[in-house]
Amino acid sequence: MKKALVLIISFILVAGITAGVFFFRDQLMEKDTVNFSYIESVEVAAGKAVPASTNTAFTVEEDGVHTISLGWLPAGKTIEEAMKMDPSELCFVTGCVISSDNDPCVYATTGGWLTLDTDIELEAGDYRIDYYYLTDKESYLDFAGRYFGSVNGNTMADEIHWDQMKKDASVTVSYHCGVSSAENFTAVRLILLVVTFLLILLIALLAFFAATGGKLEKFRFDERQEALRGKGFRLSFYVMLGYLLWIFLVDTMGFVRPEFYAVLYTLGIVIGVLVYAVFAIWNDCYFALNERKSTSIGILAALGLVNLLIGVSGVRRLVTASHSPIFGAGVSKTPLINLAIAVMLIVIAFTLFLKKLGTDKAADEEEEG
Amino acid sequence: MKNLKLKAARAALDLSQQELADRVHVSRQTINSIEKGDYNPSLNLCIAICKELGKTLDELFWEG
Repeated sequence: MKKALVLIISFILVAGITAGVFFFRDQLMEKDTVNFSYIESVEVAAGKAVPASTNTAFTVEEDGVHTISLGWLPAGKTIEEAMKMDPSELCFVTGCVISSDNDPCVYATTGGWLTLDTDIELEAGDYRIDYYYLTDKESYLDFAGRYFGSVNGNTMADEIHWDQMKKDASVTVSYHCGVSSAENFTAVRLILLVVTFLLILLIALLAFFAATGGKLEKFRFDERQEALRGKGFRLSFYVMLGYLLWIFLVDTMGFVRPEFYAVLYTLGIVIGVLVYAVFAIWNDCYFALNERKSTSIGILAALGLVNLLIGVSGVRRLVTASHSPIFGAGVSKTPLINLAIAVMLIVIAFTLFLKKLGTDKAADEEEEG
Repeated sequence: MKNLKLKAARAALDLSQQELADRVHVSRQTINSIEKGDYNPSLNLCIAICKELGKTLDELFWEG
């Protein structure tokens, strides 16, 4: 009972630390970013935004890596709210170019491709950002296909009455953007990394001692379990290879964006582990003979909870923030892999539950027979 | 093919699958699989089971 209590407290601490890191990270970054907003009236005439672009300027004080954050929705609007706007009100930013006196193109987006929260090297000096607005159906489709397809489904473009784009309207847009020295974050990030690592290590050690009394006993499986585990390893390995081959082919056909490479390829490992776990549970070779099932299930549940929290908070931030860090430094910043791990652990838990039902029934039958 | 001889020998000693499994250091499911004929045990495991149940290999595992 005492051991279980220590384990539960440990898991709560891990979840709390994880949530705290996310909270403080956002707070620190919010304080450190120098935001500058601009408001401009854009005339929409015959489906064209006039002006089609606008610009603003910023100054970099010191040489070094800087984080460029670009607002991409009308100020104060969430994605869902923006989706409900009349098309004549739509005035998304679909591209931007950063230039300086020395370089006409320091950083540029292409074809409506906005990369947000990007770390780039900037020298001290004056810079200018040119924003380009959505002006026609094609640029919207290009933009929406890239950013909204996975959020609200692919039917989004069909719900918009494009004939209304011909309405003449005056739209006030209010965007914000920010440039800040990425180096300012480095020290804070490093401290958070070290502190959280040490705390989680401490909690893991405490949990280990609570669960095992400090004695590390090797897990022991019987011969049938060993044979089936070998089969399971082989099966999951082939499934992972098959998945990776499929991703490779899909990527070759041009369906995969580079930002999702890390997530999609890591997902192969998650799928492999899931196949192995389900196979092993179903064949009664997941738990060792001398393993405490309740402890193992508790650890899995805690890991699932932490990953679910991280994943859901990331998606929530993506959906609710007007300035959403979807991509940064060329990779997806939404913790999709945490969501995948959470889903994997939920499926494992469900399999354990189903197996438990089946085992109880079999045990009853055995006793009766 | 089901191993009814094993099941009968175990029942004769009033042992449950779990109790026999604990004695020969395997899982209950492994004993169950052997009795159902789903798993062919190694010679070592056969001998361990025979010793626990006081039978010979022929008596428990020879199909005759």
